[in-house]
Amino acid sequence: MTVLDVAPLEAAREQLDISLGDLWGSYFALGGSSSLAAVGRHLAGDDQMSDVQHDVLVQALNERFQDRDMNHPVAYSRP
Amino acid sequence: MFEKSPAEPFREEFDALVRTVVTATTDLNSALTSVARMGCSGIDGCTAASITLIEGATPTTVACTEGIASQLDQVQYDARTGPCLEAIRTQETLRIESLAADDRWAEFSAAAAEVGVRSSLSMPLPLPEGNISGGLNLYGGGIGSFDEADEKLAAGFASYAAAVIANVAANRSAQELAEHLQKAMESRGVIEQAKGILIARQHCSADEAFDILRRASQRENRKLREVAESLVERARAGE
Repeated sequence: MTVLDVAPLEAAREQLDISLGDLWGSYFALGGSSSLAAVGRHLAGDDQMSDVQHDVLVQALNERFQDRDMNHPVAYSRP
Repeated sequence: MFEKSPAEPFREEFDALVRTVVTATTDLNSALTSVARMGCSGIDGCTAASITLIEGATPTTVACTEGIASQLDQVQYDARTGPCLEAIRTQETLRIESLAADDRWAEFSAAAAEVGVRSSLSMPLPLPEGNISGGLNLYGGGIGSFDEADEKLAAGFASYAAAVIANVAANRSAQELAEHLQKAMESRGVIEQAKGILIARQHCSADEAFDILRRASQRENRKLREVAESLVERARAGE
C-alpha cells in the first residue's frame, strides 16, 4: 500500500474553510464509505484509508474548488 | 421550569403549542404570537404584549397582540434605547410603574402616553448565550398595572417563549439534516448506478469505475454526480 500524502488535503480543507463534518458530508454523497472519525484520522496522518477512499475525499475537495471556478487543483493518488 | 407556577392554567395549551411547533410547523412568529396572547390574557393589567428578538444586532418584533405594542417597540428600536432593549441588554426585568414619572426614556414615554400606555413590564427571555436574545414586553393602560406577582407570571411566559424558540431551532436543524441526508443518498444512488453500468460494460472493478467517473469529472470540469447522471440517462436511452 502506497503511503499517501495527506498534507495537501488538509491544506485544501483549510483554504476552503470547511469543517471536517462538512467535508465528510460531501465525501459521503460521492459514495465514500469511511466514517467521519476515520476521515479525521486519515487527514491527521494517524491512520490511512485506501487509495480509492483517499481519492473520493480528493474529489469532494475538488468539487468545492469547482464551485470557485478552479478545476481540480488537488492531486489524486493515481493519475 | 419555574418555582411558582401561576401560568399553570395555560400548561395544556402550551404543551399542545410546543407539540405543534415540533411536529408540524416552523412558523416561529405565529407560535410566539400565541405565547404573547397567553401572556396578555393571563396577566390582568396587560393591555398589549409583544416579543422582541435580536438576531445579531437588529431588534425585531416577532409577535404582538395589538398594533400599539409593535408601535411602541419600534419607537425603542429607532431610538436604540428603551425598557425592552435595556431588559434584554442587562438580562434583568424592568418594571416601570409610571412611564410619565420615569425620565430615562422620554421619547418612549411620550409615545406610550399618546396611545394610552402608562406602565410597562419588560422581561428578558431565558435563552442560552448565543446569537439570539429576546424579551417579552408587556404594556399596561394604568399606572402600576403590574406587580411582583405579575413579574413571576411574566417570567413563566418568557420561559414558554424561550422553549418555543429552542424547539423551532431544533426542528429546523433536524429538517436541514434530513434534507442533506436525502440529497446525499440520491447522489450516492446515481453514482452507484453509473458505476454498475461501467462494471458491466467494461468488466472493471468498482474502484476502477469510480476512477473513470472522476477522470471524466476533471476532464469535462463537471461534478461527478452530473457525469454519473449523464451516463445513467444515456444507458436508459439505449446508447
